[in-house]
Amino acid sequence: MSLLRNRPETQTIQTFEVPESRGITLASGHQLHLSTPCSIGVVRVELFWASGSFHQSKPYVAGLANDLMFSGNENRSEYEVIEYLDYLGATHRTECGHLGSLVVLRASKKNILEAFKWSIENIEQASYPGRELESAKMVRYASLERQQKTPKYWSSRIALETLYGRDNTLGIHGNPEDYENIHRTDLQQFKSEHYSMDRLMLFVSGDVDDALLDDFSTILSNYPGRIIAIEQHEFTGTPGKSKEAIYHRVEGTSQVNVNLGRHVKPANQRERFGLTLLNLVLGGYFGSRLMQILREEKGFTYGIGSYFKPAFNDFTWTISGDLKSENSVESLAVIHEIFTDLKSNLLSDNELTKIKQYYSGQFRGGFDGPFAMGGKYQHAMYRGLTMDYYSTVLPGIWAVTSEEIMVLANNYLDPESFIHVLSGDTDKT
Amino acid sequence: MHLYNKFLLKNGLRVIHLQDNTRTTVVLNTLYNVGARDEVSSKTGFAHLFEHLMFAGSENVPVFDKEVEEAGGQNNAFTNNEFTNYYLVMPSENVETAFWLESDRMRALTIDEKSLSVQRGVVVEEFKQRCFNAPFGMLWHHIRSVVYQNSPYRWPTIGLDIKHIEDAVLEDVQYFYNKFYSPQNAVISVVGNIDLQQTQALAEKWFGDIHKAGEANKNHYETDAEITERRFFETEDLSPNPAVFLVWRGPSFSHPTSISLELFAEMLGGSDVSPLQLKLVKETQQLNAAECFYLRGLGEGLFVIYGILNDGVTHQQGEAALLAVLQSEIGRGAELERIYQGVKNRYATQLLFEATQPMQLAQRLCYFENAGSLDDINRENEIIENIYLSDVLSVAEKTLNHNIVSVINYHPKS
Repeated sequence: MSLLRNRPETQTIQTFEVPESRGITLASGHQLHLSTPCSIGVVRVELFWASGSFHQSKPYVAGLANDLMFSGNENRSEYEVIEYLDYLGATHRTECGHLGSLVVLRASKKNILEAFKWSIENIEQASYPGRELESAKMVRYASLERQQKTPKYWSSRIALETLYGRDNTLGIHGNPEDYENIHRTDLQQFKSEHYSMDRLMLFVSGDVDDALLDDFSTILSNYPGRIIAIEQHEFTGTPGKSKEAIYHRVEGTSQVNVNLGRHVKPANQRERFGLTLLNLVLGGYFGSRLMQILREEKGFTYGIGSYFKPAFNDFTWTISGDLKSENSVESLAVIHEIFTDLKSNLLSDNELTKIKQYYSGQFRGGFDGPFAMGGKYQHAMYRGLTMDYYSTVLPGIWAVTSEEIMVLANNYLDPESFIHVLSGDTDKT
Repeated sequence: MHLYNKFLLKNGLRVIHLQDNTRTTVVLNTLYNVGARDEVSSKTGFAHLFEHLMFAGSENVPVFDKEVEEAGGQNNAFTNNEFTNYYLVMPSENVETAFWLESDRMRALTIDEKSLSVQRGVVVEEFKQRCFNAPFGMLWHHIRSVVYQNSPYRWPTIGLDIKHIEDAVLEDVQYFYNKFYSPQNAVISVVGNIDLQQTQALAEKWFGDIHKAGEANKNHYETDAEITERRFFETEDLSPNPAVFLVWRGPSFSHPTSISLELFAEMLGGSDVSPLQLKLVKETQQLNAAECFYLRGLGEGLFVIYGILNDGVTHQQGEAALLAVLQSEIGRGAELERIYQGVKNRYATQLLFEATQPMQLAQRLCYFENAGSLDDINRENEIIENIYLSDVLSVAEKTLNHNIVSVINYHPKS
């Protein structure tokens, strides 16, 4: 029996409803975004401040000030602060981006209130004790030294530095020795200016009820909040160029990491949708041209892909992968051939439908589960959009034509507009 | 409590279903009871190479991934020493495509010389990327070769040597497929927005008529005698910092004491203020990183403690410091009651979070079924609640004896 005869019909995914969520202003004045509650016995609270590395005067200050919020204060040692959270079965992690920072707290429904109260109290009082700061600097110094032994680190760094300049937030990279110049007062000042309780926003999801929100508000009433908006910035410089590929040898490695990068400033939302699809075709999923040709046809790499990384409201478009050293230059030629093909030939209906369908499935699935909406709200906030934006995405994606994608390829896929960096075992290239 | 259903097809395929209508997707997870331990020592890395070939298509489905993507889904797989796991995440309205695809490659995979040749190249590049281009990339090669001498656990999943992968031939592929990729040697789980009736109908429709000769993997392997001496290995590495890894073999997943070692690892190194961090990274600053974990396995487990040394700290000092913290913690006895309660609380919270993640849940359901203890997935909290601190410390003291430790020292490459 041929299974092909029985291939199931598939349905296209062209519409979906944005799951409910709501914005609340607590009696304390703090803004809170609440995902639809569900009875799962656990709660996640994201403590968000609209500040990050863009606001720091020295490398790593924003990240360290964020990471070390539980490192102790005048009243309690780091051990006392964290041990109690541990005892409650609560976990925490931190994230620091260009324009926003998070402490993500999660705990059982039974213990979330106590964990929240304890966290707020100790974050508010955090004073960055010397021993904990010195230890954290030492750990990060060594970790960065290890990263600097990998080709991927260097190709990414060199590409961004060349593209945006070493003085720009988007291009700047610290060095291990930068940690030596960070002092306790730097963190205290940064916290006081940027991670203060009046600037706090909350994203809450999981097993939540109104009584819990009232309790949060009561806890925060000691630190009256205010409405905070994420600053909107844009890259206004001229992206750097390099006429020739930049080679960077990393001793002891056995592959070459390629990194191609350029700045992309979409003209409008329609162009953003088109670029999303163009990136998918190029290297944005397993079925992309880069993966199919360089991995599945030639076997030159375990993985290569392309992606958009936010650069304020624009993007850095990056192609990156670890390649067999002997074939890395040939692989660059293949990448350029893919550019040429996308600029010269319309996508087939089949390929266009495939990427739209793939994107739609992933997009819709990205809203699944009790903890998805906080991140979606933050993404919209960074871009100055409302949640209504998400209901426009699938219609926008399905409206893109192959002609539009070809135009975008011609506008954006000029090899000379990409910085090319090859790093690693470059002697064999 | 996971309200799963389990049923058995006539061909021996075990199917586990768990409905979650809050999702728009369904996860179809397939675990085959075959891993790197089923390889022969001259052809290591083959189970993992074969995993790559499972995406190379069949007579009916020339390009596996294309079909997944056209249905709006995604998929991937991983291999370890003990099993190979494939998953498909599909929009619920297109879930039948997942059944079609997964059953098709169980039924009639087609591998030609070209596919094999390309995937050999891909896996060789994966080997280099994972093992040669990252600090401590060869760690599992070193650990396994020191603690095992006879059993097939002595090599890592990626393989002992690139040459083994380069030498794989089509006959190996066919043999492996025929021997291990049968319904009687697999478990599937179906988790998400799909009801039991539809799951039963689709499982029967697509998998029910797959009949293959042979029987399920009996999982009989050569074993190693207990380690009765200290073992030592040293090597050079990309890492600019020297490091010490301490390793002990421990009980299998199904052994009652296995979870005790996992809990002990969490006590010793699972928090920013656990003893390894607090004493060796923050107080004495001898180390710039320190962690420990218990890798639970179906055959055996491995308890690993490591420290990355700061300038001026010798390997001997690093090892002594790690062992001293270990012994000190074991010796604290009832003092640790509160910390132990915290560990149990964190474990309970983690289980609640995992219950909201269909992919993890689907994989865990298959894992527990393959281990022969599916019901235990709903008893984990109860099992942990009934493990006393004294039990944990007793198992740790017995297992983590410094006289039988295997030590791996890393030096920066000169």
